[in-house]
Amino acid sequence: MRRRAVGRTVLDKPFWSKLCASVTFAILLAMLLVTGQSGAQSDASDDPVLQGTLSVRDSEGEKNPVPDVSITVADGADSIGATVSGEDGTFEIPVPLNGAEERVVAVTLEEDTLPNGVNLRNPDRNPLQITVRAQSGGRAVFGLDDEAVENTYAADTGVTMRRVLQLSAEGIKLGLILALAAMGLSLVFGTTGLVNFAHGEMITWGALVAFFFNAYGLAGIFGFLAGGLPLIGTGGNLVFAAIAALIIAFLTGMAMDRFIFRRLRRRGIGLTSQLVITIGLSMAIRYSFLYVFRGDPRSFKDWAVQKGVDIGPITLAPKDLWTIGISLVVLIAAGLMLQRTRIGKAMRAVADNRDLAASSGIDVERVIILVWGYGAVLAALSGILFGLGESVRWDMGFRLLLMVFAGVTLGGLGTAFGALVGSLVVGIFIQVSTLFISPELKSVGALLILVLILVARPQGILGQKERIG
Amino acid sequence: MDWGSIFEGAIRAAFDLDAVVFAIAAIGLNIHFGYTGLLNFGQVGFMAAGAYGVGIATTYFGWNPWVALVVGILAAVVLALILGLPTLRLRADYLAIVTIATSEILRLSFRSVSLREFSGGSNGINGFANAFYAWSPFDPQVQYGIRIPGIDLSIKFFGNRAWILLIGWIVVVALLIFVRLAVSSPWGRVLKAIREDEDAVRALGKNAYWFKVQSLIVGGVIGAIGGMVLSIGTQTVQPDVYSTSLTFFVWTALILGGVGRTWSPVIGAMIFWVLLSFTEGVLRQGVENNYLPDWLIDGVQVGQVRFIMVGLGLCALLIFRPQGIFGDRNEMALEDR
Amino acid sequence: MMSDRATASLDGLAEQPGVPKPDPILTVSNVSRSFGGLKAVDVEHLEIQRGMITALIGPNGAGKTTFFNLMTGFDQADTGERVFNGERLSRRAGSAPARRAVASAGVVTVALLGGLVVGGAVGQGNVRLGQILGFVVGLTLLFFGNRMLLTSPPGPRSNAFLDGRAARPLYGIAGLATGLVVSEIAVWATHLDGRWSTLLPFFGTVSSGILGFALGSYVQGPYSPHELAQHGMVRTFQLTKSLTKLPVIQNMALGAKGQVGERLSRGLIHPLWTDQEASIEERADELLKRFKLDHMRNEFAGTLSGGQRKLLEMARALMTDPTLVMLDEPMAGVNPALTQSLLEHIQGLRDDGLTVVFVEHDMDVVSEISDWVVVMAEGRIIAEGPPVAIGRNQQVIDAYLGSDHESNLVRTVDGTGTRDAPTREAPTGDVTTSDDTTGKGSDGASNSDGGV
Repeated sequence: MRRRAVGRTVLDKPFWSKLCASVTFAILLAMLLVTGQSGAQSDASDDPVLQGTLSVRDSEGEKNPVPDVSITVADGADSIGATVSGEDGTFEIPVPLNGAEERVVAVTLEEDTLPNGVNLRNPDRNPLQITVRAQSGGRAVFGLDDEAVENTYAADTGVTMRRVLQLSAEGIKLGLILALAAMGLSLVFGTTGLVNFAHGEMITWGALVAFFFNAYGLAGIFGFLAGGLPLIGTGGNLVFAAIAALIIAFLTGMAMDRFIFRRLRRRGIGLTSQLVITIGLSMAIRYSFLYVFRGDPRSFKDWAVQKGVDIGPITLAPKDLWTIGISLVVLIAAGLMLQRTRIGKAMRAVADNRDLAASSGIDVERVIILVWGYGAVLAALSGILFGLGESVRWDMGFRLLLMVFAGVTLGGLGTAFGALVGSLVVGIFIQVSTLFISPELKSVGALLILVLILVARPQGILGQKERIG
Repeated sequence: MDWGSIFEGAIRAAFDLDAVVFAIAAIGLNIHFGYTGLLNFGQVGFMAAGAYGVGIATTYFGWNPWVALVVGILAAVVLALILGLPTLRLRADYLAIVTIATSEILRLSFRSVSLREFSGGSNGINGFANAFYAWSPFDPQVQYGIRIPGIDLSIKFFGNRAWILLIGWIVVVALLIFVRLAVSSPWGRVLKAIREDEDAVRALGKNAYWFKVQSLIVGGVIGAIGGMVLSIGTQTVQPDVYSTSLTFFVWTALILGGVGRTWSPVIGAMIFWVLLSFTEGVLRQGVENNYLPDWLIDGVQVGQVRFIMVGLGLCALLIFRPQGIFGDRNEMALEDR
Repeated sequence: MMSDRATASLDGLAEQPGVPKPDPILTVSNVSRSFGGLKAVDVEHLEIQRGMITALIGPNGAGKTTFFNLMTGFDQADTGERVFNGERLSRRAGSAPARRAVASAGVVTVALLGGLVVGGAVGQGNVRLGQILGFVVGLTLLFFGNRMLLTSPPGPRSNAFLDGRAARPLYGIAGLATGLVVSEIAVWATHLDGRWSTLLPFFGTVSSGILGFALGSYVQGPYSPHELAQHGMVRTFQLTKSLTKLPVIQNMALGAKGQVGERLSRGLIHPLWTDQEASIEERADELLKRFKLDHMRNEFAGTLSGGQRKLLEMARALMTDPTLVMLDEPMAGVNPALTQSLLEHIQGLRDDGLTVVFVEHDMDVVSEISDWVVVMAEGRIIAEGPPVAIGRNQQVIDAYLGSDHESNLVRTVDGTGTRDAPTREAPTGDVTTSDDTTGKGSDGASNSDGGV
């Protein structure tokens, strides 16, 4: 017996150190590649740069770059340079200072080169007088508006049966995506009493990891960090990427419990403090995503654009149908797991009465770590499915989280089934409300209905009365 | 690296507009969380209500600045009622969820195209604070300085900034006196008792719900005053300034100073901005002078480090020093709740 | 040990559940509460006699604590009536302020809607002027209507409108009407035009309607614990709720009623309340001395021992000038040395003329100080009577034995001196979690067999 025990510890140690060593090696390798890349860059001129970005907001309020617009720079009659905005809407023109500290130049945007329907918000502010300084350069900001967006509400405001059905279908899709995330949030809340504000970052994490596997193959995130050098292959199918992302999300979720929240519980840190800690974590992780992965929206390589399929009066892309199907199956499976399997029953037991569960022989800590794992998987899946329909962004999870909160509160905090129903209501409400209010205000509607329900039925639609504190 | 300018920037930050605004907002949050135990995760919503209340009243309706200030405060009261009446009967998490969601939704509404005639969309509202600066006794072209005795360093502000800072710090002192008086009264005693145990308070015949609503209103109005000072100081109301992150910056400042004591929000806000300004100064100079490699950090990323740092700092504070820098663990208000 | 004066008044009462008492301070009837389909409490009728110590006992899971919470308003019953000190205190709807408020809402609604029609005609198509006129007419009607209603005596069961049962819909409609008119006036006053001149009244009307609805729910709703406490019914908790970060004296002062400084506007001006505070502290000091806590006066309550916290909670409750003191397991978690003094304090309350109700497991304690015992099992009251008689009750014995519970109950029935030694060994005093957990072991069970 004793020899075996010794043998195990001996065997464990090299395994962990090997793992650590290989991870470190991989990171070092990635860094080397990055440095190699950036070392090659160098600036041709020392002149300060006048720069700017042309963008226009779409109906969702997202900034979209405006490429191929001509910009000229002049100082009086003296022409300094001209350029055309790039694919990302940016333009840069070096301005020679001829030894001075700063120089005032006139920046002109050629209005003819703007795309159709896009106009200067204030035509009087063209050309712009910009001061270019030796240290900081200069920045030219042109406000642009899209006529189409301005007219969106006017053009498509008719309340027709077809639109109601179409928006309801989209609402069901959104609701199911929200429900996936909401279920994870509810499970963690039920077992630990903690509302996890970092749940949104788990959504983003899943989508990001899936994106990187999708774009860079097995190299995944390292492929991105290495500056786009595909280490192995040129990208993987989204299905495999998603599965890999779910596995990683499972491990990450468990790690969050094991290395952060279990320790907090051990230290006797109260639930309120833990709640604020999840907020801090959420902010740190979210901006780390921005720091490392940059702010631009990304689309998956596969199925980015699909032709819609007519189903009766409504039109849905096949990926939307898959999204609805997959979330339904997963939600039902999760529900069955809670009802039927041993671990599911253990989860419900812990949620009902932790002390009783512990005294009846359930390993509460094991249940909690699994709940974190499953919660992360569900969140990651919702992120992947949301990214499939729209795009993957560094703060997508946080935006979704607010709607998830609305759903969870609506259904009643801590009830898994309530989370599902509440999310569906919120999803459908958000989409259908665009019939009447502008799409950028649709989340306002979600909050409004949340407050209304709280007034009339504080415990949520399905919550039980005694859950109120 | 120019350490002199970094240090000067850091000390300047302790007195500059951001510190004033944070101090005021944190005083409000201290009433919510420090004294009553309310989890308000949407303090920035109150700040936005104040700022936009003033901005819309002066520019859209063209009202007198004094009326505009009242409108800003009323907006905060209404917001507090909307948030508080339904949620303060429920467990604490509900208020947290609803406040964070509302503050973000307020921002989205203010920047939306459909409300542009009122709130100016993503550009916000500009140039409404002229009346305030017209009263300024300082010359906008002249720099006014504070000399700190002992150190060969003087911090200078241009006339307009000096004017708003003077008013701002006077407001801070006035609010501190108000808080001191309020929390040492029987009213404050009920709030502190609610923080400890709401049921005990109800069993003694106090309407805990109503006291919580009052606390939310008072702290929210103070937050709105912070928003007004910010908008007048910058002479603009920009929707994206009022993002949820700002709420948690204020939280960090509050916890840094120590929760539930009168002075702590002010000290917390000053230390917070000194630390933030110092690290950013170091990073920025490191980037500009190429001490830090490009692949690790560039100019854009310097701004993002702030959020990561504050997020991690908030976690670290709560885990290792929940009583704040100077707090006494035995007396701290933030405990296992 | 029992007070003769108190028991005397209950002599000759039938020992059956729900028996009427000569001078009840609290009467509850038809109280039921279920959790997810499971009926936790179902009590037909119970009267608590004034000036006595009444014990509420029962086996684990009998619903004692739930019933206790229902009586004190900390949990809301599905059905039930509560009469305290001759006042009906079950739903606010029955109370005078609620009737007044509902009547006002009704008048406002009628006045506003009527005013709209009248004003529309008088204003000759100028709808906004009409609405404003209507509003003025409504307010006038409200003023006189209210005065008329206030002077007329309330009937025992007047109609639904005056009784307050229709508060929710009435307030909702009144809110809608008020919101409409006020926001129309606002639009008119601010010269809004375009889309917002229709949107603002819409939002204003809806939100004001919701507010009215919520207000109606409040008026219609059950009494809150704090209102009951203001009427003189104060309670303590099984798990002591001392406010650990407040000094003992502040804990005490919190309990005092009618404090001027508890209104923010007055609280800010310290001279307005310092006199009152001084007299409150004087009274608090007297109580602290009586409960032997005066040496801890300025310490944080967190530094007190478990027993001292119980005493503090009791003293603090007395600061509210109660007439009925409800103690939830006052002995739980108290070290045995303190038990006796705690019991004396409880008896002291009765001797001061207060009424005491307490939940307890330990039959020793019950028989030592209580004048009347109410036994619950499975959510119902199965028996009540004087302590000596209650132990002979076959139903009670079955209830306890059925749940494999107390043996000391039966020992008490025997009445002979076996009481002290064996039961004191049983660690009843250590119970700090919810209801008493499992039985006291096989020893107790065999004992009881012998007893019966």
